[in-house]
Amino acid sequence: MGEIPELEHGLEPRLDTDEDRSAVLWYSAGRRAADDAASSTNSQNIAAPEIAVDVLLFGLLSAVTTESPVSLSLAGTATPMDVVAALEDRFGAEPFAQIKDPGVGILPCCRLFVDGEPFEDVDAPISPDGKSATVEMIILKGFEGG
Amino acid sequence: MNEIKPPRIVETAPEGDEWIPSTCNLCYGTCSILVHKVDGVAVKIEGNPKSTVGKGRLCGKGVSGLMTHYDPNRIRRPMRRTNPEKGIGIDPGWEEISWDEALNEIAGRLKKIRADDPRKLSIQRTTTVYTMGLPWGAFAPGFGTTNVSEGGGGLHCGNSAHQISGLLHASWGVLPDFQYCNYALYFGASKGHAAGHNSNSNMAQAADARERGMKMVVVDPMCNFAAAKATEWVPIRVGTDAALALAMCNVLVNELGTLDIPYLKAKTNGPYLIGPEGTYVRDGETNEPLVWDSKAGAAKPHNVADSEDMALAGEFEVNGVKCQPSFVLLKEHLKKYSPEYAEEITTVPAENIRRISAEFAKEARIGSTIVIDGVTLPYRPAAAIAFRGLQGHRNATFNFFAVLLLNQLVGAADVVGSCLGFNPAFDGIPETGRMGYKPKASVDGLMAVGTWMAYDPPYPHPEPRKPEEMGLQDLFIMGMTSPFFNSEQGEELWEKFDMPYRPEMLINYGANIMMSIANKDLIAESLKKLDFIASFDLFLNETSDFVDIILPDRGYLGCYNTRPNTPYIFSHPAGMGDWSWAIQQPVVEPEGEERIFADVLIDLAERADFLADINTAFNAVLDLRGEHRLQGDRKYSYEEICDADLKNNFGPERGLEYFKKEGVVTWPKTPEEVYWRPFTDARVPIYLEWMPALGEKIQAISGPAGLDIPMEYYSALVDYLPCQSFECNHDDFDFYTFYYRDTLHTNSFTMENAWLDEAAQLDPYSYNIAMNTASGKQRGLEDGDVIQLETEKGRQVKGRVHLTEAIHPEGLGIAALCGHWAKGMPVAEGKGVFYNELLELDWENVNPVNLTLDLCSKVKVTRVEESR
Amino acid sequence: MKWGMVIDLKRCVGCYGCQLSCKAEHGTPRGIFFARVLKQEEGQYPTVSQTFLPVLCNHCEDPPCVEACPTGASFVWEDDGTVDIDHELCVGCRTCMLACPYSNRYFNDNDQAYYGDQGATPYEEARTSQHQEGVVMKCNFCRDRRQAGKEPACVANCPTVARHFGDLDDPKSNVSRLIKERAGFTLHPEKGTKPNVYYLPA
Repeated sequence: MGEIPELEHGLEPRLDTDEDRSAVLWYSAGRRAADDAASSTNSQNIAAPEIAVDVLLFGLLSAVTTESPVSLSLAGTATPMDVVAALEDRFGAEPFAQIKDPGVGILPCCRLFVDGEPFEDVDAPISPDGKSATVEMIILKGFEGG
Repeated sequence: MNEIKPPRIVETAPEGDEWIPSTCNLCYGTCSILVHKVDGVAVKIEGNPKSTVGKGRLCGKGVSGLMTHYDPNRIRRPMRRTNPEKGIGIDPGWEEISWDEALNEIAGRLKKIRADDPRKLSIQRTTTVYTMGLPWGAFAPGFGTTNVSEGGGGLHCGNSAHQISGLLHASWGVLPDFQYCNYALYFGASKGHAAGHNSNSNMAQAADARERGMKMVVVDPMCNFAAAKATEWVPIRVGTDAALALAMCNVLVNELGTLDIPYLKAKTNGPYLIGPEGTYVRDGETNEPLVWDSKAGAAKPHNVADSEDMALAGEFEVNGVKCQPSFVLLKEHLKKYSPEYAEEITTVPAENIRRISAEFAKEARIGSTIVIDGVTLPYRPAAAIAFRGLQGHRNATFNFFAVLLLNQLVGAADVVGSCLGFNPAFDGIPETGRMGYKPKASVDGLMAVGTWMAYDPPYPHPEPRKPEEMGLQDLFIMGMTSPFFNSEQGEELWEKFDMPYRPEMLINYGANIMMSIANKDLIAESLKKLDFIASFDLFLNETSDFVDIILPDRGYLGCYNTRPNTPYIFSHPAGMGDWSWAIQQPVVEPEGEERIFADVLIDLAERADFLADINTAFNAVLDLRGEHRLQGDRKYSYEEICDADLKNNFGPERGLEYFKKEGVVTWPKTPEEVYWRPFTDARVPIYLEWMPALGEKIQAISGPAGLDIPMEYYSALVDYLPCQSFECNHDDFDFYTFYYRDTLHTNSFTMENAWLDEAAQLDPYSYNIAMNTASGKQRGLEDGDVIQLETEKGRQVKGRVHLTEAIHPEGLGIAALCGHWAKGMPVAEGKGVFYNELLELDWENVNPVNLTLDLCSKVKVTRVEESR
Repeated sequence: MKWGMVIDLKRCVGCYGCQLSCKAEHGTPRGIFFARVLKQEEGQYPTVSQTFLPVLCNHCEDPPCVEACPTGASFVWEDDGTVDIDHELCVGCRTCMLACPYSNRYFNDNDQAYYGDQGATPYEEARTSQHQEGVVMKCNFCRDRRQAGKEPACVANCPTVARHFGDLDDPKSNVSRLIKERAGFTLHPEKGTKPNVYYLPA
């Protein structure tokens, strides 16, 4: 076959096949991330008194109980996972199987709001200041491609 | 000389003469429009030049919207069937009823189902107005059903395309960086050639690229659209794209050795060590996958070692286990895809495979950089892209992955000139910082998307479980859509899996699933089994024969939508340029009693007592904060919700009133948003390590139920696997049929538009069956003959043949979803060919990983009528 | 001055945006497309090429249609060189249609409403009803739009920006420059009509 024609593209690339100029760009994000990790410190959980948590269940989860809100008393360090565990204790594990996953804890399709604010970290305390909290839960599922 | 200016809003227009900004919905491309209204009548639709979506220009479909809007066959009042018998072509005996009567009946049924098991309600939506999905996104979860589907998950969905684009590019789809790409390799895609996501803006960008000298090589069984504009058309045997793409990968890796090694080390799982079981060798303490640190001469977790020091070659022993970087396994695996082997499968000459691979490798300019707006970035002006065409086969997942692997090998992913995801990174609205997203590292250091169009992202995926969803996507967790939602085989599968419930009711929004999934009989049987169907529609179509209550929709010129173009991964121009945020608003009054469907849904939620739930769902879906959150069980109009959404995102000054007037807000992109890959510490898989284990987990559930998973589809290394149609070896079945999207038509919807129909009748391809001239002559066929196509299972369609040189000798190309038979769409009736009639809808014809339906069939051709 | 159009065949992808935006602008009845897209195939499998050729009235400098018109209805605007039809004078004899070597003239004798017995839509009442029946119709380079300071509809709308409009008498205009730089050509030059619509090669 013939030579590949040079293309006109109106750009002057900095081309250097001996010294891979783009390599440093590929490696840079990883190095930054490593530096950030090294400088971060672990926070410690401090034992806190129990808090009152009101749970509002919507959509498919609303079928679990006619109680609304579901009032729970949980440790001050309670996380969304603890909230789900408490709900399982009270209403059985089955209705909550659909939102739990061994890999990711609570599936991203289950949305949580704590005092009206979306709450994503399922292992973080829902009430760092030890005050009572209202948790809303809804499963957002059934939305697919196009 | 008079100065000619582009069209714009006339600010000093006479009374009763106005240009109203909104959004087109003749397809899901959602271009920004201006509607010219004079004395209450819409007289013209033009593109809105203030927006980057469409850039003030529209395709033939977009400019024809008024013919759909004013079609006298539109449904204008709610109707109820009087004939209890449901079947294809059986007149339901429609009688007009009041909205009150219609909604009370529907709400009564909803209430009953909700108290029993809300999952017994299923919802179908059309992909045509996909971006109008927000109200459904709140209605379904508020009600409590997980069963929502788009057009039945059949022919219109790019299931695998989205999944794999998400996995490798954190986006819904991919395209070349038209502004800088010099060599674009297309596989079964027409991006930039009048179809698909962001259709209009892509057309201008692709034309600029052609004019600039971008070489475009198009692999396709047919030379239309993209291939017609290509520098080179590579005809391929239908459905064999993976074999070609893998042979090209093989040439790059094993013959040329042109690889972006630093990219593979830093941005892929190529360095991850794979043990004898084919899985990652993991760190005993952190469980992170290990890599071999060449500098230290020891194995280290991937997140501890410096990428530069990671080995891509060699064999190592770690804690007594022999292991190799996954790249070594890929390299070995690719060896079986020699160009000669691929030639046999694909009919593409080996010599061409080598040449194209070499051109692609050379044009990728590995190692080069370029400065864009003051930022130094990797420069890889070569891209391999794919879309709906090649993934409409049983091997959908691997077909798509194999093509995108080409980019990974040369580092041509989301950098200047390369294969780009549609806007995977967005810094957020400048004034408020809201709505921003970007890809990030997730489980095992692999990339998770920043945003997604569905709630289960492509990675990491949840554990498969015994299915309780109608489409079985909770078992086949890689599946974004499922064709088993409304099919006879669905019932068989539900029985196998002991599904705890059966669907009883369907609410349909504009989907015509009798035509959109596969052959009509199977769908008809599934629809008959439902107790009740309510349907929002524009026309009485083929699916209406099974509907109990029809609700008239106002259509796209009568609706509100605050987010027609977001998230930007769906249909917004990629590459450098601007971000645009447009809205959709009612521009004309209803002709009859049509209502805004979102308000009807809220009405239903009120009547069925779940307003608090739909409000919470809106809060979650729209991420409404603070004062903008919907409260308790208060009833809101959709207009109020739209206002809350806009103010929540843009601040108090820019609510619905502002957007109704301005139509669109636009601001510039940054290089870091567009070319995000170097700035993101996340890797993508070239070795699908988790797949075999996933396959086994699924088999553990499905096997005992009597459904065996063909494990070759769950391999960590992708392969070419033939379609079911290749199993048919009878001599007289000698053509592979394939479907393609026509530029004049969207799904099965636009054939009723009188202008588009007329243009399609004049087009040599739109309504005909394309066949290679020599193949036709060989069989004694003349151009214009009416032929019958028949599959081995006896499914038949008829159509007029168009003999052309521009198609593979073994292929038969059929455009769009035509061949309507409904009396309620008289313009569309009888035009073109109903492709889907040829398709089976069963386990053997879906991709066993994500349930993508195979769209090719092998047929026997007979002449039934000579040309006129 | 002399209005002319340049259509870049390299940019055109055959999307029908011109054909249908023209129809939307003028509300022409069924069967009448002032602008059309033709598809043409050349070569043999596998070395085949497809060309998309958008066509419209060429607004010829020596228009045979004007010459053929017995009533003077077909005429050339002196101030801008465009070819037009005065429908007051047209008697519908269709001589001009036979004279046009490009088949870009249409006789308006079809149904004026696309949905036949179902009547004219509000859009058709507003737009299509302005057309006179029993006369010949054709493209006039969107005279109304030009007078409002806009480009012809097919030019303003073309998604690939394949169409350019300007003054052919001005050597510095975009159209003159493109024709010169990109070897613009006209259709059927052998007919001697001197078209003012030029094409740039694919």
